Amino acid sequence: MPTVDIRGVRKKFGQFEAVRDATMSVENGEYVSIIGPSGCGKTTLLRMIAGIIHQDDGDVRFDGELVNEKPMEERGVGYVFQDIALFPHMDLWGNVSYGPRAKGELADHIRAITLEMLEMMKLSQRYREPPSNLSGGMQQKAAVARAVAPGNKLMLLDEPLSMLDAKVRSELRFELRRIVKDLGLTAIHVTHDQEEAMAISDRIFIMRSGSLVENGVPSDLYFKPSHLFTAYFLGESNILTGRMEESGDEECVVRIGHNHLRACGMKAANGTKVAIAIRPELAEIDSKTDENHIKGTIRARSFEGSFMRYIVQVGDNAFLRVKNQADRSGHEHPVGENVTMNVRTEHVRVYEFPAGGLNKEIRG
Amino acid sequence: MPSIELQGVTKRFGDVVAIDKVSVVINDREYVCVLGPTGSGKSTLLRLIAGLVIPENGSIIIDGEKVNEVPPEHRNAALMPQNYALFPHMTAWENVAYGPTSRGVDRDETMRRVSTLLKTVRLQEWAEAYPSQLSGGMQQRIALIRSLASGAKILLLDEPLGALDARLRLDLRRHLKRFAKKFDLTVVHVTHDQSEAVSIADRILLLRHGRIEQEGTPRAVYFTPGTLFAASFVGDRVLLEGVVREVRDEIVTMEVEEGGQISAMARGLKEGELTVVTIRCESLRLADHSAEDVNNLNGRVTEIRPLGAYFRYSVELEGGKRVHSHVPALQALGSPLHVGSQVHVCFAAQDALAYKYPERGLALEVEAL
Repeated sequence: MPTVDIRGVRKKFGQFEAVRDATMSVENGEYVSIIGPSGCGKTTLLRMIAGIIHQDDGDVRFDGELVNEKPMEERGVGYVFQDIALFPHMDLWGNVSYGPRAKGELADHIRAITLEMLEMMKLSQRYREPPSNLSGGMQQKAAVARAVAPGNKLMLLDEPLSMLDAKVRSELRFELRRIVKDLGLTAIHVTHDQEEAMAISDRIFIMRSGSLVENGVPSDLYFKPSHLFTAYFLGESNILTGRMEESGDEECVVRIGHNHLRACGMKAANGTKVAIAIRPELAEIDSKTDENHIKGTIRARSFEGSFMRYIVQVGDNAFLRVKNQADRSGHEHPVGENVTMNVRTEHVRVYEFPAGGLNKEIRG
Repeated sequence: MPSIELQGVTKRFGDVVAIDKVSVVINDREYVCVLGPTGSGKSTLLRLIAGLVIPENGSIIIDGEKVNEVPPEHRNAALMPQNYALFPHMTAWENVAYGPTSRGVDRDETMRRVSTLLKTVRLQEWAEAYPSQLSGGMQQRIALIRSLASGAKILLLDEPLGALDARLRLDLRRHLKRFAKKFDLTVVHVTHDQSEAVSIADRILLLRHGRIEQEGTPRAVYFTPGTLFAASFVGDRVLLEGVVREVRDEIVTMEVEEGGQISAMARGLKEGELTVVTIRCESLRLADHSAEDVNNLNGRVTEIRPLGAYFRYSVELEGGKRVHSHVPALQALGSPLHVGSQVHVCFAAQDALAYKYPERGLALEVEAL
């Protein structure tokens, strides 16, 4: 049932600043994720919360209590690793009951909690089997059960699904969330997979180059990101260069290629160069919205399952990726067709043009 | 004409039949994705084509010539293994030049090839960098062109995007396809990720227990899966169990546990038979009033999760079963539905595909988790 408070935490490895001044709070019972590209420091941050490594500076508090000096085993955290780490020579029962046994719990309690965990994971029928008999997804669920069984109320998960098949991964997300919620745990989940973060968490922290960029509930971060990097990294966005033409309190007008678009997000002097983010699924070909029309020509298209992806030329050197629903009839827009796309003002997000250039800003 | 043909190829490892009498033709310049779960034999299939494992039975034919006995380096096929490792003490340039140089390709020709390849993947400026100075995506591109530098026209990719960040993976899908077309390559790309296969392949081979479960264009595999397993593996689908009450041409009427009758598409089902019907999550529409001409099931919204391009609505049907409807973000943002709303879950018979109930049970057949 812990809250987690992190203030000004830093960690250097030699000259390399892995985490710079990280500050975050997690509420009791909250499921948060930290996402960012490889090497952004998210795993290092998680390990400092766990007590596996120690910060150079800053404080970590659980329920208001400072735990900086506490070793991992006294922090009451369950840690789930990317590589499934079950004891291969023990059956499932042995693995899940390991923590309570090591703590010297009473036999009745050990039996009850082990059974409860296995039932929760829908694995109780297979309690006699060694891990090698189980699929990757089942093994990772058993690893979660083992981490929780000793009574840990804070779960720290480091890319727990990334070694699994795509299909299993996408199903297990929801199951993991259900388990954490049913048990009333607090969870901090590190991942580079934005879909996973959207699916699993109450709140997402975006991290890059050792710093936390912003945080918010999934839909706010996705539809109204405050930072250009979030627009790029969380989901997909078209990132275009444009000019500010008119800027007001609520909205503004920007020019991209030959198109003038009503947009929102910031104020700037007319003529200022700006970066503009538009999500591909929020630009609809031939829809009825009359807020914004973008005219262009379809240059390429591909079938991607539940949707069609179009690449539409909207200016001399400006292209818009658009994702619209596919249907089984196959009546899609052909390459070469001139189309009008509609995007709502609130879905055209304007940002200050990054000083180091677009590519450096979004790809690092 | 770099084409690949497998005729009745079988490969065993001890008692395990990894590849079981597989016959398939891969055409010149085709981009084929071999899709399947862990243990389905995908990597073995690729290694058979590469020549790293030798079949017990059957023939492997490349460019019209049987190559069962031909060693890997003489097969016109380059394999990029899942855990490709660049030589850490060599620069990007030296890594790419390694193959042609060690095969005695002359210096000028090697220079020309390496420089063209580096340009194609837009890494010419990084020629002198060592692998440790390159990002994961850059290393992947170097590994890709390194496997091609020897001049092979058949590219064999084993989970080429598996080691990368999810975000980068999306970007590189498109690059891979473009790259293959630019160099007129014939590609066999192994993956467990159905969305990767659907978005990149000219044709998909769905593999299961060492056999080809289904093959076809992404559209065909996605919209008309031939088996229950194919349906459950490709795309996100809802599964409902029922009993067939009436058969009329390709349309069956069935009674489902969730209350009422629904119509679905099926072939070869008989009245009274147990059946499983599958519906793509994005074909389930949620409405506050019932619609005619389509199937309707009653339920209550229990959870709404925005997943980005779509929202996932969980609906508890009468009888307690939970199904998920994927609603495009634009629709969901304007939807009055909330947790607790009573809804009709609607879908067309054409979007509901019914299959015979599997003999060994549903859970085992679809191998969920």
